[in-house]
Amino acid sequence: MKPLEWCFKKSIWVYHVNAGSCNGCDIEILDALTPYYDVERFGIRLVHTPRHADALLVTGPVTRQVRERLVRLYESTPDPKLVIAVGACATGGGIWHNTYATLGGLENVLPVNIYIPGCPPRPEAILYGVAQALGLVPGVVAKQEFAESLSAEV
Amino acid sequence: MLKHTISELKEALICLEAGQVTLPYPFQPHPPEGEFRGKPVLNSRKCMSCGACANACPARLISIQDNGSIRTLSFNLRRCTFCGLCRDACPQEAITLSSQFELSTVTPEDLSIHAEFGLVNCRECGKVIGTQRQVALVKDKLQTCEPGFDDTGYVDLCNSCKRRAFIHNPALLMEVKA
Amino acid sequence: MAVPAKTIQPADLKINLKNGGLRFEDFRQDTLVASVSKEDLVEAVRHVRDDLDGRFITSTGTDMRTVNGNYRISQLFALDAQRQFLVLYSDIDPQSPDIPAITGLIPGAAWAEREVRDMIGVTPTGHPDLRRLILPDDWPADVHPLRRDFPIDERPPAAPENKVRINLPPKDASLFPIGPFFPTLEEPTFINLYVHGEQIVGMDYRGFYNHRGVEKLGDSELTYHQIPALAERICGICGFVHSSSYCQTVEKAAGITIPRRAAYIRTLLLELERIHSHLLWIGLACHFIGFDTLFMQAWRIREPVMWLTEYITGNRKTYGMNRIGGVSRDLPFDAFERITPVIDKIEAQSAQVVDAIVEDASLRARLEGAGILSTEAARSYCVVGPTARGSGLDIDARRDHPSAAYDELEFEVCVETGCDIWARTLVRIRELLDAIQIVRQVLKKMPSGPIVAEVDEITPYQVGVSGVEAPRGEVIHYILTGPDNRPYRWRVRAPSYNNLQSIPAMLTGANLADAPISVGSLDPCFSCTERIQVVDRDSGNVRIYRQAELLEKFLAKGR
Repeated sequence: MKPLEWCFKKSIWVYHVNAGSCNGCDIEILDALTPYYDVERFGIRLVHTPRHADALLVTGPVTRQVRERLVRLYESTPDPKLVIAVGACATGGGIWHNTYATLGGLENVLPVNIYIPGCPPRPEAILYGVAQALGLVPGVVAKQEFAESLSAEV
Repeated sequence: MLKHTISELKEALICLEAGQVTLPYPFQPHPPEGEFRGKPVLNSRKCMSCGACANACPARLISIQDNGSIRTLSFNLRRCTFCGLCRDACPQEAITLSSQFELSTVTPEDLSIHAEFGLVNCRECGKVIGTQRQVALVKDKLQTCEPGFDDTGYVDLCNSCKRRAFIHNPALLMEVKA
Repeated sequence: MAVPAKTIQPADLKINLKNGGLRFEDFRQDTLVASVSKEDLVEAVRHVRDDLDGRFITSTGTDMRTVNGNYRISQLFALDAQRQFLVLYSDIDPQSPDIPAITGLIPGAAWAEREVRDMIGVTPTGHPDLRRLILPDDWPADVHPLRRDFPIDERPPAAPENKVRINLPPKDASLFPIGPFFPTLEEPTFINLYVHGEQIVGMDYRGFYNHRGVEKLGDSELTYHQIPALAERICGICGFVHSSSYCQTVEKAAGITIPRRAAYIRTLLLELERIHSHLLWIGLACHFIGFDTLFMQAWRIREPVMWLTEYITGNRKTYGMNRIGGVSRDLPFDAFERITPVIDKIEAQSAQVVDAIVEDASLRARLEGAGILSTEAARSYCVVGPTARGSGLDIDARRDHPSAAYDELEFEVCVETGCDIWARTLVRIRELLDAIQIVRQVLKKMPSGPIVAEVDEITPYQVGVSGVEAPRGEVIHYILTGPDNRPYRWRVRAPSYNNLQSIPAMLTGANLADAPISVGSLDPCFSCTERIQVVDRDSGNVRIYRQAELLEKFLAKGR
C-alpha cells in the first residue's frame, strides 16, 4: 500500500474554498452534508481551517484577486493533501475561462488530484468524486473518439 | 419557561417525524429523473461537422479545425456548463445530453470528444467546400427535392468557382432554374 | 392590488437648470430616458430624488467613443409608485474624464461610482473614498477593462503597488479582520471591523474577490442568445432570476412580447427558486447561531424542491430554460401531478419549522434588537428585498415593476417594521409561505399555447431596464443594444451590491458577536461554510482571532 493511500484510507477532512465561484457548487457541497446525502457517514467532514484538512475542495475559476490567498491556503494545508476541483469553473475555467479577471481553472494555480465537472455537479457526483479520490470507486468517464477514415467508433 | 420547553419539543418532533431519510447512494444508484442535462454525447453517424454547435456554445469549448483533407471537431468538456445550447443548435440532432453525471476523473483528457471527418475540396481551386457528409447531403437534397435536379455536377465547386462557371456558361443557369 | 400612480410623462421631467437641465430623449414602455450635462447632474439627481420620489438603483458607465466620441455615465432610478424606470445619462468628454459625485446626495451610490471609475476610468469628483473597488489588488492603475479597446482576454502584468490599503482603525480601537474566506457571504470578502473591546466602532470593506468579468464577456464575446446561460451563472442560488431579468430586458429593448404560457413558466420557476432559497437561508441562519438541528431539517425540507426542478428543467440549479422571447422547453406532461404533492408537503413541513422558529424564545432573544438598520439608513443606502422590507420599506419588484405573470397573480408584500434581524427573518418566513401560494395560483391559471415568440433582428442602441424580485431583493439588468448581435453594454445590479453597503450602518455600535449573523441576515448568497482570518501583519498591533475562538465567542452569546 502506498503511503498516500494509507493516509487516506479512513476518514478525510476537507476544507472548502470558494475561489470565485457562483455559489452553485458551494451549496451543492453543503447539500452533500445534509440528511439526504450525509457524507459524514463516510467519515468525510468539512473543517473550519485548512490546517486541519486532508483535502481542499476548490470551486470557481480562480479569480485574479483570490489567487494569492488560495496559494496561502494550499501552503497552510499539511502534507499529504489532495486538491479536488469541483465544478466546470475549477476543472476548466467554465464559461469565463478566458476573461481578464480569472486564471482559467484551478490547475493553472495548484496541482489538481481529481476533477469533478458539472455545472453544478449533483451532490451525488461530488460524493462519487471524493470516493474516487479515495480509491473506493472507479472512474467511469472516457474520451469519445471517432475518425471517419476508419468509419467506426474507436 | 413552559413556552420555551414546548417550542423545543416541537423542534424534536420535526426531527422524529422525518425519520431516517438518507439515500443509499453510492451503494445504490440515484439516477436523475426526467430529461436531465448530463454529459453531451456526439452521434458520429449523424454529425456532419457543420460547426453550428461551436457557434452556439457559451463556454466556447467546441473547436473546429481543418487540416489538409481532415476536419477535426473537438469538445473540451472540462468547462462544459451542460446548458444544452449545442443540442438545440444542431441541425442533424447529432448531439444529445446523456443522463451521465458521475464524471469525476483523475485524467482530464477523459473529458473530451474528438471526431475527424473527411473534407471535400473544390475541384477547380482546391478550397475547402465542406465535409464529405455535407456535400453528400446537399447532393441528396437536390435530387430528392421537387422538382429534382439530376445534374449535381456543380456541388463540388466552391462558391466563387461556381459563379465563374455560370458566368461563362449562362445557359447552365437557365437550365438549373428551369 | 395597488393601483399605480399617474405615469410620469416627459414634461414632468423638465426643470430649469443653468446648463440646459434635463433633456428628454426616449420613452419606451415603462422606461424614460433623459440626458443632462455633467454640470447639472447633481441638481438633476436632487430633483429626481426629491420631486419625483426616485429610488436610486445604480450608475453605469459605457464607453461610447466609437459611437459619439464620449463616455456615457447613466444613473438608473426606479419610480416605484408609477411603475417606471428612469435613465439619466451624461456624456463625458474623454479629454476631461470626470463627473461630479452624487454620493453626497445618495450614500447608496458610493460603490457604483467607484465601480465606474475602475471599469471605465471616469472619476467621480468629490467622492469621499476613491480607492479601488472591483479590480484585483495587483491590477495596473490606468487599465480600465470595460473600455472597448481593452481585449477581454488580456491579463496585464501584476502591479502590486496598487494594493488597496485598508483604512487604519481609529485611536485605541483594534482591527478585527473577517475574511476573505467567510461563511456568511456570497463571495470571499474581507471585512475589517474596528473594535473597542466587544463593541464595533467602525469598519472597512474590501470585496469583489469574485469579480469574473461577466459584463465584459457579455458585450464583447457572447451573443444575445448565449448570454442567458452566462447570466444564469452570475449566481448559483438565484441564477434563474438573472437569466429572466436579462431576457426581459432584451425583450423590452426589442419590443418582443412573450407568450403568456412562457411568462407563467418563468413565474413558476422564479417562485420555486424563492422557496428553495429561503429554506436555505433559514437553515444557514440557524447554523450561524449554532442551531444546527434546524439547519439540517430546513435543508431536508428543501431537497424535494431541488429534485422537482431537476425533473422539470434538467438541472437542479442552473435551469437553462430562458431564451429571449420565452422559454426553451415546456413543462413535462405530468408536471402538475408532480408539483402539487411536493408543494403540499413543503407547506406542511415549513409551517412546522416556522412554528418552531417563531415560538422559540432563545432564538427570538438572540435575533431581536440585533443588526439594526433604521428605515432612514435603509432608504439612504438604497437597500432592497427582505432587508428593505424588514426595515419598513414597502418595495417589491414583483408589484412595483411587474414582469413575467406577476400582474395576474395575488400576493402580499411582506413588510415588517422591526428593523432588526428578527424582522428580516419574519419577512422571509412570510414570503416562503406566500411563494407556495403563488405556485398554486400559477398552476391553476397556467394558460396553454406556445412557449416562445419569434425574435427578429434587434435594433441597435435601444435602452432596456428590467427588474425581477430575487429572494435577496430586486435584480436589475440594464441593456444598451448593440450592432453585432450582442449588447453594446449590459449592466447587472445584484441586490447584495446595495445591501452590503448598509453593513457599516448596521454594525457600528453593535456587539462583535452579532457581526456574523448581522451580515448573514442580509442573505448575501452563502458560499462557504468555513472561514479563516487572514491579517495584514504589516499594519502592526493586530490580534488574530482563530476561527474556533470567534465561533466560541459567538455561540456563547446564543446560549
